[in-house]
Amino acid sequence: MIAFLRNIAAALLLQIFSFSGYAQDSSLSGKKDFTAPAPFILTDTLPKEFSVDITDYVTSCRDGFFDSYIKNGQLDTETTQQPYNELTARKSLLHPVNEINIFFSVQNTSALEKYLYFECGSPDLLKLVNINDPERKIQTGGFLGHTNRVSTYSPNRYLILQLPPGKTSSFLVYLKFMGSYKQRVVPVLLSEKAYQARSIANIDRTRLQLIYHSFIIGGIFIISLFMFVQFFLNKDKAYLFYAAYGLCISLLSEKIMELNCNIHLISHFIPYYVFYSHIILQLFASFFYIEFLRKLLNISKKEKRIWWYSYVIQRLILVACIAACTVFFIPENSAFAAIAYNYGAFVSTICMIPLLVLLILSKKKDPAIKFVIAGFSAVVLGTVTVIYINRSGLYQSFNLFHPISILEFAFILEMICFGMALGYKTYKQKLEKETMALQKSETEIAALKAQMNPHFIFNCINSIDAFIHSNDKYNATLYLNKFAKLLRNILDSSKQNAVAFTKDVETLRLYIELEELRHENKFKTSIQIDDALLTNDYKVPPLIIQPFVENAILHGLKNREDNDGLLQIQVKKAADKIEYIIRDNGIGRKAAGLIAQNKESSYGMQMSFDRIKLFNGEENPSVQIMDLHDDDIASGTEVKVFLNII
Amino acid sequence: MITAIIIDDEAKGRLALREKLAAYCKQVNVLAEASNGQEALLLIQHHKPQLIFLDIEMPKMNGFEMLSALSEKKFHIIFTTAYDQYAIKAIKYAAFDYLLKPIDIEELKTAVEKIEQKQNHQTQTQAELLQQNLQHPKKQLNKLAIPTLDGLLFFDINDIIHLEANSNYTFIHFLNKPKITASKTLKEFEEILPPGIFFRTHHSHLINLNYIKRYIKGDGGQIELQNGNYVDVSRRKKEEFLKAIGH
Repeated sequence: MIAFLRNIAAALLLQIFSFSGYAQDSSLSGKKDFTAPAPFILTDTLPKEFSVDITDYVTSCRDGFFDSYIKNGQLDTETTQQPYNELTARKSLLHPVNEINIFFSVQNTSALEKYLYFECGSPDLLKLVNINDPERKIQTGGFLGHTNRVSTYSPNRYLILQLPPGKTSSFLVYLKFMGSYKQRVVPVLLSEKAYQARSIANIDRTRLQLIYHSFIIGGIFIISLFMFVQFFLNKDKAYLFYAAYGLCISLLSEKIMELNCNIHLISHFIPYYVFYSHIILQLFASFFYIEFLRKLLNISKKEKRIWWYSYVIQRLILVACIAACTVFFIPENSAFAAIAYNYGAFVSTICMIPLLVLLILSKKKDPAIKFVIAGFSAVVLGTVTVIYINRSGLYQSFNLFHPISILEFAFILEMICFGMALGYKTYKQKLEKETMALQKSETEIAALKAQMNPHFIFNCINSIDAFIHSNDKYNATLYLNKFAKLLRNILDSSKQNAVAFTKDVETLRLYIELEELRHENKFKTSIQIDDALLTNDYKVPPLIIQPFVENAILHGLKNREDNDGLLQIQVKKAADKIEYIIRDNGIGRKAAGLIAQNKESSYGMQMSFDRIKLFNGEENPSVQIMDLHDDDIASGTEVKVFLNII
Repeated sequence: MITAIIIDDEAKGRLALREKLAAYCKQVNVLAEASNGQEALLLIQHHKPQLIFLDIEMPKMNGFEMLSALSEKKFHIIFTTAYDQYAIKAIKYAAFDYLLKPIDIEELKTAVEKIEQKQNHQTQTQAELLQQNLQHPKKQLNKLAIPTLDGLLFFDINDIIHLEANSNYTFIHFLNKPKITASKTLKEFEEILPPGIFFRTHHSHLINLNYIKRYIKGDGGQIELQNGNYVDVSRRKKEEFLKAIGH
């Protein structure tokens, strides 16, 4: 495992710094004493099925030689006589295009006209001309969709050589490699039989690949479609970006399929599609990928590093996307296109690795993060493996499958992981919603309970019962109605988070009047309210100060020896707040504390603290409690409650 | 004639009770009314009533506290309360009478009649039991006054092995004590005994889960208790029972 990682690291380093190394290779193409090699002799004694490495029969020509020959038909022997270098050499980091001009001859000693097939690596563009042909007709091939290609559907790495009997035919070949990969380009001649055998083998190989790619493309596309539908159901944008990402990946896979299986779907309509789409799709995929992660994990500005890194990278990718799209308007030889083609996958992977590291290091508690890291790692590992395989030359041992298939498989793994992450997130949200609804109804019930202290209710009824038994019909009805009105208001408001201030004051008055009735003449009440509060339509949480008033009456005023108790309630508008002041001249908190606490009312106080916090959206409830003193003797309690105006 | 004192901090509460007694329980003669504990202590010592109506919820000194401040309790008590589930349970354990406010006339009549018929009272012992229960640090009620035909008997609920219904009576089997016949229904016992310890296995059986010896499987099954008695488990209760014993 360590060796593997070291190899990958070496491959990556090589990729970054290797252009100098390649420059040394190019020194081989310098002028040396060299004799033109003999032509390859084609005799009848050769077996029917053969393929021959003709490196020894090939000479390299100077750059641009092919084009100049086509123009003026002049053969320049000086420039043709250079040894053939079988390795492609990249001229520079910023122009990773290799052009090779080669020359070779074939002598047909047979009495019959023969046909041979020429192959030389897998170039993006392949051009061949027969020197003996006065018309200098060009045969083309290669993977790059090209306008003057012989046949769009032919296996495009083979060109046919027509060899008249008893003659020597010479050929000039132009090869163009857009890749910066270090690859062997061995010129090979194949007999017709060998060509057919290769073709059949190729069909078998591509058939398998076709099935594999179809599965991948279909699978990813269906997942994307499913996610798109999910977006409409859940209105969670993470699904939308995931669907977009999936679409890019399935298109990327489709492009790989077109390239590997020699089929032309989109490239049939857009000739350069296969060549350019790669970088554009990759960049768009990365863009949507980051956006998806940000939405899925709810990355907030608080998570500085992740937020900024993903933000900056994403914007850069967007710029690169737009820039990459311009390649469609730039001529085929553009260095920019070549750079995009060569470094696109590499650079976008390099950009993603820090994000993955940041996610792994982050202490995010989101359980979806495990799925994200798993999926993310699969793709990064897949990409790194593919880059390693391609650059190290190992890819030549992949016969049945293109190494990129590994990456496609990683994509499928990732999609499964991300699908799970999304599913998990949605499940959690649903659960949260349910708990929220439950909590809400629990709070409602708790608020109702807090406002309907059973002692209060039963004692009120008891007081009314007393009026009935003392034949005081007027007061019995009066207080029964007040009580009914209070109950109705409480029941109405328990369903709401906030009620009109004026209505709430009315409810509070009813409550106080009923308490006064219970504790006949024990205390008097004065309520002062700012006009501004009564004329405007302010909303307050229902009966939020009732527990403080109840406390003032039951623990402060009720315990007074005499009947001179005074309950003062003042409500003022102070800037952006409503200020309640509840003052009593009772026995004070200290003395009241010595007398057994009333469970219900302290529960009510706690409820009010919580509700004030919730209403104001604050850490600590805006409640101030002060002990009042008169010459060091406790003379009551003052409670101030502040509510934000909404 | 029963002499009585009303103790309630709320004037309206006293008024309502006084008027109801005057109108529907003419045999009760209200000697005085107290609005707090201290006042009540003085009035009781002075009037020596046969019956007191005692409100539990009172400022400064509540009904229970007032009761424990009295050295001699030679009277019947009817507790009155608006709402206090814990206090009501404690009252039930001590087998005191109580009335919920606002007081129902029929309930008031029944309670007064019951007191009229009683030859003697055990208020002193009942009050002691009440105090013991109230002083339990974890607010657990352990001591139970059980009314029998011979008067109140006092037990620790942890000594009860099982209870068996017998129409309006209940047989109670104890650890190391002969069984007694309580003049209360099994349902009433089920309501006050702690549900974590006592389990109703059958419409006529209530058992203490701590005294199970073994469970014999069957349609509903049977339980052998530590005193060797067998108790049926009804089919409906089987699942719940197995859950209660942790299966």
